Amino acid sequence: MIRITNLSKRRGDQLVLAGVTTDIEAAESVAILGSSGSGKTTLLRCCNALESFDEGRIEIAGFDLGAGPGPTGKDLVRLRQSVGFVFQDLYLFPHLTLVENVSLAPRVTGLRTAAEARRDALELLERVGLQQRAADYPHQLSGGQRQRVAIARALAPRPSVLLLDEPTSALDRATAASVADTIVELTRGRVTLVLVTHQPELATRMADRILHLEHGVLTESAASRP
Amino acid sequence: MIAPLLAAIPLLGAPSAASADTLAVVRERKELTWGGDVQGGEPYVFEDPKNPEHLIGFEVELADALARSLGVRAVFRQSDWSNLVPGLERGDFDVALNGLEDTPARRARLLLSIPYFAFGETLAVHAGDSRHSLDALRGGRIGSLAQSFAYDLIRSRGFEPVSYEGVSEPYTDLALGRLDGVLLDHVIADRYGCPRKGVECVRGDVARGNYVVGLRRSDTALKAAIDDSLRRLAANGELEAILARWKLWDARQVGLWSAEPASVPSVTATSGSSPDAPRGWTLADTRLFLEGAAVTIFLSACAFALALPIGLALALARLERRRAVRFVSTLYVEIFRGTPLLLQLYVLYFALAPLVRLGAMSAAILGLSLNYAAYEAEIHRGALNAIPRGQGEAARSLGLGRWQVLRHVLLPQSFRIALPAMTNDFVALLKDSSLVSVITVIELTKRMTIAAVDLRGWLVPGLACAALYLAMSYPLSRLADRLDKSLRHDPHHEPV
Repeated sequence: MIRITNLSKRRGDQLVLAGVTTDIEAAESVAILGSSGSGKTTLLRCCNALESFDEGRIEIAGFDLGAGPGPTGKDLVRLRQSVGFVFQDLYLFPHLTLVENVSLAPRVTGLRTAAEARRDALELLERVGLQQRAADYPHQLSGGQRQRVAIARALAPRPSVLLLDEPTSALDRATAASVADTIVELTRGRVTLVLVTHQPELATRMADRILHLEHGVLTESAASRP
Repeated sequence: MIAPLLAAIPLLGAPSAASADTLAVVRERKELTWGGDVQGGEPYVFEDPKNPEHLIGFEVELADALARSLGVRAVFRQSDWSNLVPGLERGDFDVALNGLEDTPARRARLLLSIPYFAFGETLAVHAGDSRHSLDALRGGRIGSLAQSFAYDLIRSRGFEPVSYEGVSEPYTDLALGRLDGVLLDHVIADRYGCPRKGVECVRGDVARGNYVVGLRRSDTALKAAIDDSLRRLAANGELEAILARWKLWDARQVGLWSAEPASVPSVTATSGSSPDAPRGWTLADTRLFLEGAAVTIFLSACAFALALPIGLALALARLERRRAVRFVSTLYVEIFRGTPLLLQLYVLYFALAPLVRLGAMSAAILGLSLNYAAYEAEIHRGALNAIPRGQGEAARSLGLGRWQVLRHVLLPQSFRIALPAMTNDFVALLKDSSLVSVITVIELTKRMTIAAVDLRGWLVPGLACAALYLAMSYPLSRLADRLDKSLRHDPHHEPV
């Protein structure tokens, strides 16, 4: 499903990613653990073509990304529809209601009609427990609720891969656990999950397998779950 | 993108094309259009005190008589007096007929008819001032009308005149001591200067000159027809009757059309007429002011509606990755913000006239919108920059294309941020729209200056004008304030 081969990226003199290589199975759930500045967010952004890289190759959801400028036009749109991304800072659209936030992408990119997109969005909101709040705006929600909307929004185009950047870092322990369980529940068996975090307990809770990233070098953890 | 937008503007007052044979055109449309400035006031062409919508004056009667002898109807076209010649050249009207003096410069630029009136230049000084000649006043400040014969005369004596647009203001300044002298045609001096307290007119003409009809260089046939008509009017006494009716017939006119040169009397033959008593404010004035305000609102709204998309396009271009696009947009913004709007209007209306023939209203709307687009561009650029980068990235990560990101995510947010500044800008535009009077549009401020000449005072028309501007701008300013406050407390813009 995802094969990263010898991926390197420089930022100025600094080597942010130093020959990262890994294979992730379809529907597998993988956590990448690393301290801040280890390059984990950059790795995630490269997988969604939000950033380019200098060397290596990423095969993801049937797309083949090489070094240099990434895909453009329809290819890029299809890649983004197949690979969902949840940002650490969420970036919900403040001027749109929850149901509009979730239905926007499938609707305007032509994946679904407006009615279908809305129905799907309401269903997704129901599955994250926010169907009653569909007409509310993001600022009216708590941190955990916002996180759930962000996940619903990323899943709306029905991606086969979901990339999560520190999905619970801003939440208290109990809320974080609940959000983590929701994510696993929504994706288990159908969506390949890659999450980067600096919290080992979250990695253990959500992932089948844990990788470590330090100074741009990726290593397999011995403590992976069977 | 400007061309289709332009097509949408009603071409109000679009000028007639300057045809090679204007005489044929005049006969065909059965109209002789003549340019003049209502602001010039009595006795040339001015608004009838009894009915300000009706124009009267000796030149109105002359134009009617000329048109009649051509078998057509005379139609007046308003033009700033100092812009009569360029207005004529760009085809705003068929002839210029408004105290246009016969000068070498005008002879070089236009065709001039035979004279219809002989004038003297009258020097006015402070009452009691013993300096009774231009040379005696050397080193002092002499006022005159911009572009006039007197103006050129002062310059030819080697000093710089103080330039005015209206006939009354130079004498006001003379009486107030801001000037040492005023040199203007005796018609103006007799009415607006000599009767004034504290002003003394020097007896004897400083110089003599003639008023003539101005025509475009190519209009030889029309000139011949006008000359013929003038000779006929002189021969049958009609011209004398018109001038006499306006108390303008004097010794200067005798022999104006005879073969031998007129003997120049050594003393100014003042016509003895005193200016009409200043009239009061009437209901008709109120109506005209309201109409002026409507023109101001109409052209401001149209200009803003155009400035918005242009400004937005410029803002997006300035945020472009390609350097050439950024450069062009930056250049536009710097040029339009860095030069006076007045200059831009002159260039658009007069300098570019050989290339693009815009009606006065179209040129006014376009000029204002091109200028304000530069300011709108900066407002929208700032607003777009104020949105967290992640908003655009989040939208792109969902598969939205560049335009979809703008349309659905960035612009709805930036518009909200830009709204208070845009409202303030509209108020500024409303006031700046007064500048378009220089390209002959009569809006609220121009209406006020015209009324000020007729009423011989600025106070009442000035206050009426100010009240109307305030009535338009104050609600908008309040709206801008409220938008600004609501934005600052808008939870939609908390980071989420």
